[in-house]
Amino acid sequence: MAIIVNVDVILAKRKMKQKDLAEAIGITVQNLSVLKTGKARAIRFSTLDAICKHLGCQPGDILEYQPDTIE
Amino acid sequence: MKKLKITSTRLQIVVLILIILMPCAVALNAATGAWAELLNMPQGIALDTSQITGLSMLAVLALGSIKPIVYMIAFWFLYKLLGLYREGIIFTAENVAAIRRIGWAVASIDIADMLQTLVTGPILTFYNISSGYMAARLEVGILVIGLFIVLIAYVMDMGRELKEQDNLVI
Repeated sequence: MAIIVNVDVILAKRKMKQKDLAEAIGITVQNLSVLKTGKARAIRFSTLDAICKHLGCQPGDILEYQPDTIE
Repeated sequence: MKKLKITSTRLQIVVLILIILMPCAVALNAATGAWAELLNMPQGIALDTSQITGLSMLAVLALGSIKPIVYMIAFWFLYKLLGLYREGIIFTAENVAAIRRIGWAVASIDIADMLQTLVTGPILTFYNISSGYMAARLEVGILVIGLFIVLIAYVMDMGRELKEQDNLVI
């Protein structure tokens, strides 16, 4: 998919564990993993808001657009 | 969930008894010579039961078994669905397929009935069991119920897809 989720990059920069973020924003580690691996179909504004709040970043830091390459 | 498991287990036993009773009922009718009941004959048609021997008996038994067999298939699919419920499998593709199968099986009951009624006359006449007659019956009550069950299965499938999509909304 063209939308890349960079939560793991921000987590590494903040030296925060996935489990801690999941607990802080009130979602399960499994759901956070779904988000990280790009399997999620959509992200709620409330989830995005909580992630940005706890990681101190902008939505653009988490979500990135990369055009699909045609081989 | 526990209540569903208990109810499904009990219903499974009831359905299993019905599955076993179906061939028993056919055998009992055959053993007691209740051929008219077995064939669901229209009123006023007399049967010469002395002609029901050997091959003709097999033909009559086959005719009389058409509807019970379809019922047994429908009950078997219901038994399998209840088994899924007992295991706690509710909104899955497997369930949808099971409900759809039940729907088609139930819809087939009326079709089997029409078929049985249509072929009984010529076959009985062929074996000299009854005087030449031909009957046709058009009952679509169970057919409509069956098709409605199939429709419910489609709606349930859409619900399952929505649920799957919702699970991927974080």
